[in-house]
Amino acid sequence: MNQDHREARELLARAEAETWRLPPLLSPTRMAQSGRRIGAHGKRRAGTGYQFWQFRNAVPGEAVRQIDWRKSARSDACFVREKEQQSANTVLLWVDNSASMRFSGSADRGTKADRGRLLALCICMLLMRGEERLGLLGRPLKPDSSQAQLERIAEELLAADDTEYGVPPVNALPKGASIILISDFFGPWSALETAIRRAAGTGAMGIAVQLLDPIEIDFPFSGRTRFETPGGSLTFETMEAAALRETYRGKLRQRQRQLAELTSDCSWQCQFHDSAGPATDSLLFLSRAIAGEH
Amino acid sequence: MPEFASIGFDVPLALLGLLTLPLIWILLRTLPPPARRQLFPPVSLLLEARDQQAQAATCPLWLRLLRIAMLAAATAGIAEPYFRPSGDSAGDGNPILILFDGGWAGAAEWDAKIDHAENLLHEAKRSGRQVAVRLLTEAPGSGLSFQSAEYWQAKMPELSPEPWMAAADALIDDLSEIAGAEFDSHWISDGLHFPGLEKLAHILLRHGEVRALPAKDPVYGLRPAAYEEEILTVGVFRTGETQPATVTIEAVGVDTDGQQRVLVAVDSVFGADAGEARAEFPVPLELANRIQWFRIAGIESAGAISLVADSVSRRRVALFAGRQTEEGASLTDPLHFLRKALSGRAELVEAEIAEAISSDPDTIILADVMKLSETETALLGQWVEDGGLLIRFAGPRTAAGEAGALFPVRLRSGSRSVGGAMSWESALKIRPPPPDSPFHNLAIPEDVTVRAQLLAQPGPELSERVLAEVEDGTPLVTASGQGAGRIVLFHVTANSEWSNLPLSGLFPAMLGRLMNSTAASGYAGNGSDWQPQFLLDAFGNRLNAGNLRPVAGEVLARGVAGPELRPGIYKSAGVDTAVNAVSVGAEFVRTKLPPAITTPQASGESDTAFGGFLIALALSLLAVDILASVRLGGRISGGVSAALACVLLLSPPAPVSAETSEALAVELTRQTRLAFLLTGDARTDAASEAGLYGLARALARRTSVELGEPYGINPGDDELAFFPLLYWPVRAHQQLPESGAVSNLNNFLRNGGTILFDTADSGFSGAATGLGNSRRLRELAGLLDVPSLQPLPDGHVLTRSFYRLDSFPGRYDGPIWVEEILDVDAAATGMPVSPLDGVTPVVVGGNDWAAAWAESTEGRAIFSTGPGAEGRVRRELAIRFGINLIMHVLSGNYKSDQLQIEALFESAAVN
Repeated sequence: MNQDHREARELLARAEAETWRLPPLLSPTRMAQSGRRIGAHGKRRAGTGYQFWQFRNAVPGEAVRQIDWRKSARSDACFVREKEQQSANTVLLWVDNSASMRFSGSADRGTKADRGRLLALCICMLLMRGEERLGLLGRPLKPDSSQAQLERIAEELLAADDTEYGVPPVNALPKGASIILISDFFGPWSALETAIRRAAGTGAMGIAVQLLDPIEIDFPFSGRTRFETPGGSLTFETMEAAALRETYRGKLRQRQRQLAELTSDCSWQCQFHDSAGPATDSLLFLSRAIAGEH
Repeated sequence: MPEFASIGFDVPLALLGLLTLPLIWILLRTLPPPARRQLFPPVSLLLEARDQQAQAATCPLWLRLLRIAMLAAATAGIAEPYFRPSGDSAGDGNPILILFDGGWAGAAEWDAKIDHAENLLHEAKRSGRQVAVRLLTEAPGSGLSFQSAEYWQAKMPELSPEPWMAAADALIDDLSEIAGAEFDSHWISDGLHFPGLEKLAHILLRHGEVRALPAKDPVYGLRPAAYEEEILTVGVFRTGETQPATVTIEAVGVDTDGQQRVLVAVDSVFGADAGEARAEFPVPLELANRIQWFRIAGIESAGAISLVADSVSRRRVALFAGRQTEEGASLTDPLHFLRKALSGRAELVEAEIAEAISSDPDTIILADVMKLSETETALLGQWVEDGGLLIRFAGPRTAAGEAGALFPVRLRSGSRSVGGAMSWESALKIRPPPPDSPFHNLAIPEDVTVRAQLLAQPGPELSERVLAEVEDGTPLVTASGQGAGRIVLFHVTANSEWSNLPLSGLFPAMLGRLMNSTAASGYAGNGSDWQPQFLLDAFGNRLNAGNLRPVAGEVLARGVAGPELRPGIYKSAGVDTAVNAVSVGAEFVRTKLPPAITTPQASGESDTAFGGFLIALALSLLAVDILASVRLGGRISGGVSAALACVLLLSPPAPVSAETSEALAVELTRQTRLAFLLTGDARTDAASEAGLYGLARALARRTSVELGEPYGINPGDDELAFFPLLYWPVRAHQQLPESGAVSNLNNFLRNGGTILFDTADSGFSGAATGLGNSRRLRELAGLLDVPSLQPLPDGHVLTRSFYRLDSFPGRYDGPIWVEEILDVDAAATGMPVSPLDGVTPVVVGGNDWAAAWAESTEGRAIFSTGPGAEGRVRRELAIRFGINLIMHVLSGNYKSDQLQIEALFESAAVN
């Protein structure tokens, strides 16, 4: 637990370093609703929020605990303190932490999951500055926009998933949430498609980010090779790996095309990143996508 | 026999291994190279693409061929194949006689000769022929025994040439005993003709075929040195070479510092077709007398060394006459004929006796001197006791005076005249001297007569003191020993007054014999045994004569080196004489073998074994195979593996040389460090380093000396000046240093460095021939400027520079040798007289000190010095020796000053 805590702190620090010069972000949903406005999205009417809006006379039938006793004590009437309605949006993230993501093709770069976590946390920080509520898909974590939530998210992100390939858990989505999915999307296509369509069906806006290791893009192998998944569940042996290169690249392009078609069907966005380049580049592209600058 | 090339095998059974190749072929085909394991997440995508051809998992054909070739090469290599250029040497099974001339002339190319003989032995072993190996320099009577080739192969390393000429007689005698035997002979010639060669060749041809390996190089030799017209001259001869050539003759001797080194070097030029040349050494007498031998630079043979003894060193002779002559009457001057006789042979001093003695003459000649003061008598007596030769001549004064001291015999007063005008008798002739006289064999001219002489008192001792007589049996020359010196009396005058002896050629010859005594002969009272001082081996190395038997004077008189008279320096009664491999007046011509003897071309004659090459090829193929396997497994790219394969197959490892940079020099001088010589043998080097490391730790613990890490040096490349001590492990197979390294090392020694030579063989120096490490040490010492050595004397400063020690063990406990202490006074103080602060430039021993000192970084001893407490004591003593040595090296003669400590205390007390 201590170890996890330290790792989470580290992750936060790295995310802080990546994000300190970037502007705050608003969720894609709110961008769609209210145009490009940054900051507290006051609705100019009473409602639930943090900012004071007005005092009004209590009307009969109003719950006693609604009454602001301090104001009421100065006069004879009873007053109710109303706050301005604020509409913070909920952004739910999912970073695939399956065995497939915990892979790095080279000792001098981190795993895909690590890069994914970093990206996710950076996005969280930027959104937090936009006072959006943040949560994690499939985790028992109530969406919130407090600083403490960031730390909780960081810790939750580190929890490993034992499966070979991850599929986003899209049960019980809140209405009108934004969803960011970060994964390699190497799992069974049908499961992925089902999950994304169901998420889109709840009216959520979303971005799918495919994060790949360079060797998964280039396939720089030759000779007799036995390929194994990191989880060990799948193996594939070939006499001459180099002969397989074009076939594999074709398959990868096909998977990316499927992903792009699916997301555009759902009015989602889709991005492809690799884990070798600087995280800042990926973050810029991603934040621009979130901000709606395609 | 057909002259075509053939290939044979020493271990043909190993070729049966080739039968397994087909089986291996089949196995290889079924066993594919192993697959590389690669983690790869999107296997799912690959599985979707599983539609490609199912490739059979077999080994590629080329790899199989490579592996089969590798195995075939290894098998053939183990079978020890050889290539024979001409297929006829297997012969018909006759025994073989391998005949070496074995004289000094062949020493220079001895290794090549031995190689040739080993090839012959190898061949004989293969064809199962008996072999006899014979040196023509062997002493007679050694017999001729045919043994198996293996027997001789084992004896080959012991075979060494002798420092004299080959002779045919001994072998001809031995061959006459086996007159009917059939054998083939291989004659390995030195290139010098010797008497009886044709006869021997014809006898050998009667026994069977004879092949000869002629000498390749020309033979160079030095004739004994002599004075020619006042100039010290050495004759050089050569055979087998007609081109003009220049050789350098070096005169080696002791310099003023007591170090042995090349004193003078002179070039000698051979003209075209010239067989003889001369080298003249116009050097002052002082220098000439210090010369110990001449040598031809760069030629390792006893013939290229000419030892110098008293016969060549010029004597200083003091002449003194009792009476002065009138001016101009030179012919009656008592010294005139002496001067004439001695000029050119000696440096003459004419002075008063006391003054003459102070000039340290070898001989003092008194011509008719009777009146000597008491002081003079005492001085002369002491001088004779110390080894001087006093020659006195009779004359009127001697005849008139009372016979006093310093005469060999008691004299009758008055002279005896014969053959005068008033006498019946005619002048007396001189009898041929007896064989034990130094004048033996001198030709006595008929016309030399004696007209007057002094007579001796008859006595029992008279006859043995007579060196020469006149015909009536009265003495002409008498002599007696006194202490280390001798007194000789000529019973006639030194001028022609009493005898015409001084006018004849006999006179200088007699004087020469007396002063030089090179023609060996014993005289009464001096014994006739000549003790060898040191001897030469055929390579021209000096050997310690040890306790070799003395040589009789008659043998020495023959002057020809041979088994009974080994070349060297011999000494008897204070007189040194040199026996050289090349005797005076010897003639040398190139060997002319009878035409019936075949002389095959040396090159291509022997079999070429190439098993090693095949095994190396197999190993290279193995390396390529490994690369190929890696390549098939996809671990490295094709280009890299091809490049590596090329490197493995083609390029030899390049030597890496380092230079002493300034930074290194700064680093090395930051702390005092000990150095050890890198031998190239990793174990030896590691032991040296650990040893010096351990010694440095011990020094740091026990003394105020704090040394840095030891440093391994290569004398050719590294600067030595930074190190006070160089530890030199001497091993038999060590490369001798090159000339650059030698001058570097000599500089090191001259400038006060010390080298500790360690043969690590516990001082087993195989006395005469020298074995293994010790022989290498001797060769090293020949190259380096090493002074003469002596076993560590009692009270040497090494025994008390820190600890008091009386033995110096390492892992062994042998004697150690240090620079010889030359001065008598210095011997008392334990301080050699040298400009190096009394630090001995070399310490020589064989106790394997480094191993005894060796300590690991954890402070644990690495090598055993013996069991239990004894071992611990020995290690402790070894460390104490090391500390003493370092103290001696670092503090010079400071420690020996403590000898005067009592005097210092006393003077301190007085003050």
